[in-house]
Amino acid sequence: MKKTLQIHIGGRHFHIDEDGYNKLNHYLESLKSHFAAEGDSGKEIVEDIEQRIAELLENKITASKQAVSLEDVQEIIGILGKVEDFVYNSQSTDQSEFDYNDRKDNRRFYRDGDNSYLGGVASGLGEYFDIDPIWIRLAFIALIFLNGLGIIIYVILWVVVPKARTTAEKLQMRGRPVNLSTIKESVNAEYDKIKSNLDGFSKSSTAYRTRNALENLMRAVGLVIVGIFKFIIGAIGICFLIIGTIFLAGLIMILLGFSNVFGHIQVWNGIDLPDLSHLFASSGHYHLVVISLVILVLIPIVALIYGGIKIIFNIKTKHRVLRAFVLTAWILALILFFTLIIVNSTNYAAEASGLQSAGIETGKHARIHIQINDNTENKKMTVYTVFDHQFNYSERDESLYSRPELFIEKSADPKMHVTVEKRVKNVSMKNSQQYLDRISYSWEQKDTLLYLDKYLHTDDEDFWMFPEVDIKLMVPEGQVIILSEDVCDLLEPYQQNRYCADSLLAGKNSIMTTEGLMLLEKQKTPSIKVK
Amino acid sequence: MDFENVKAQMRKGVLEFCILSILSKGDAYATDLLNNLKESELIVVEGTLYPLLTRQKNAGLLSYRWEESTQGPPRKYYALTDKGREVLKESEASWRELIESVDSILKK
Repeated sequence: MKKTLQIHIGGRHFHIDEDGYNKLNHYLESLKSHFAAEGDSGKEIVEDIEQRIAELLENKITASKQAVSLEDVQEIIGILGKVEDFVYNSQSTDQSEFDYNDRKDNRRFYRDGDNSYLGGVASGLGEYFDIDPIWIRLAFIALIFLNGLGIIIYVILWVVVPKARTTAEKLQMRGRPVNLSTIKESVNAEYDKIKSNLDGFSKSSTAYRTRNALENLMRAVGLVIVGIFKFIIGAIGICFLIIGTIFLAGLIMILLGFSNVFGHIQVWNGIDLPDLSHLFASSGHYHLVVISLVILVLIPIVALIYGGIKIIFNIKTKHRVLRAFVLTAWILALILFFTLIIVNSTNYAAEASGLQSAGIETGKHARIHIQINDNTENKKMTVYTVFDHQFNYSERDESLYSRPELFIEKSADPKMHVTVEKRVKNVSMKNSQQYLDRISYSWEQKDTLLYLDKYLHTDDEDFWMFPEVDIKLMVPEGQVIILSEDVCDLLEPYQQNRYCADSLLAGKNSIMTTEGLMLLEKQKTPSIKVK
Repeated sequence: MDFENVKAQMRKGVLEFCILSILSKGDAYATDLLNNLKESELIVVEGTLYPLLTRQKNAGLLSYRWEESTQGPPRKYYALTDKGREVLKESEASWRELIESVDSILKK
C-alpha cells in the first residue's frame, strides 16, 4: 500500500504517490530557486511550466489509474528537462553581473564556521560587511580593554547568532543569491574542503580540535541557560501547585468547620474564627456570603493548581469556554459578595437599648465614696480590639468583659440615682434584643460606699454585637462625693479630663454644683465648719 | 571546444526565430508551440521553451491572453506584436543571408 497525497498544480487537482510527490516537489523547488534571480519573470516561467506539468500529468491519469506515480513524474521531468538542461537559456554573463550588484541586499549575518578562530563571529561579521575579518578581530581585541566589553559582545554574538550550516545559509552569509549555480559552486568548494580535512584527519591539528571543543562549550552554555530557564519555570509551576494545595486544604478545613453548625471554629491549632452569622440580617444572607466567599477563594486556588500542573507538564491546551465560564462565575461571586457586605453593613444600625435606674438612699450630709469593684476576679484575659472597641475575653468562662462609660451628672431631684443603659448594635432588631439580655452590669451600695463594677459582662464571645454600657451617676446639688482613683478610669473622656487631670478630684472631697463637680475647698468642708 | 554546447547555442538562437515564425501563422499556446518544435526536432527538453517565451514577451515581441479551454483551466495564448512582426521580418532576411553564406562556404 502506498500513501497518496492530493496536490493542486496548474489549476488542477491530482492524486499522487508520496515518492512521486517528493520527486515532483524537489523538481519544482529546483526550478524556483533557479529562476528566483529573475524576479517576477522567473515566477511567471515557473507558473507556465507548472501549467505544462499539469497538462502532462492529466494524460497519465486513466480510469484504472487515478494516482500519479513516481514513474510518471520521472517521465514528465524527462520531457520537460532538468534545470541543468536548460540553464543555457539564461544569459550567464548577465546573471553574474546582476548578482554582484545585488550582493548587499540579501545578505544575512551568520557565524562563519569555515574561517573561524573561535566561534566564527569575526569572520561572519567580515562576510557581512565585506571587510577582512582581521580588522574585526583587532576591534574585538581593542574592545577587551574597555572593561572586557569585547569579550562580552563576542560571547553574546556567539550564543545568539546561528552558525551558517547549510549551503544556502553560507551563501546568504556571503550575500550571494541562493540559486543552482551558486549552490553547486559552494557545494563543490565544501566538498574539496571536507576532502582535504579528511586527508589531514590523522594529523588533525589541535587548534581545530580546541575550536571544536569551544564551539561545543558555547552550545553547552546555551543549553545550560535554556535549562536554567526551564528549571525556573518548572519551579514556579511547583510553587503554584504547592501553594494552591495548601490553600485548598485550608479552605476544606474551614468549610468542614462551617458545616459543623455555626459555632466557634478551630482551624489547625489555635486559629479561632469567630462566628459571624450574627453580623448579617438573616441566615440566608449569611449563607450566600459564605458561598460567594468560597467561590471567590476556590476558583483562584484551583486555577493556581491547574496552572502549576500545566506548567510542570508543559500542557498547552486552551479551554476557552471553560475559562470564560469560570471567570464569569468568579466575577458574579465577587459582585454578590460585595453587594451583600454593603447591604448588610449599611443596615448595621439596629440598636437595641435597655435602661435601668435606681435611687440611692443617703443620709443627710453623708459623703458618698465611689469605688470600683473588679468583677473579673483576676481572670486571665485576652484583649481584642475591634474598630475602636476594646474587649477582654476570658477563656475560663467564655465571656467578654468590656469597659462601661461613667457620666457624673447633676440630679434633677434631691436624690442620688444610678442609671445603667445597655446598648447593642446589629443588623436585625431581633438579634439585638436577644443579645441585650445577655449583658449584665451591676453595682452595689453599702452605707456610704458605692461600688461600681469595673466591667460589663457578656456570657457570649460575640463582640460583633458591640455591647456598650453607659452608667449615669446622678448627684444632687450640694452632695459631697469622693471618687477613688480607679473611678477616673471609667469616666467618659471629657469628664475624665475635667475631673481627673493632675488627680484634681481623685480621692478628694468633691461637691456637685450647678456647674458640675467641684473640689470642696478646705475651709468649706463640714469639718472646718464644725470648728 | 564543447560540441554539445555549440549545438545548444545554435539551437537556442534558431529557436527564438522559430517561435516567432510559428506564431506569425496564428496565435498558439505553449503546447501547440512545443508540438510544432518537437516535430521538427528543434527542441530536446520542453522546459527550454518557457524562459524564451517570457523573455520575448518582456522584450515586447509577444503578447498573450487567457483563453478558456474545453479541457482544464484557461490557456495562455501567445500572439505576435507589431514589434514581433518587424523582428521576425528582419530575422527572416538575416536567416536567408546566413544560409546563403553558409551554403556558399559548404559548396566550395
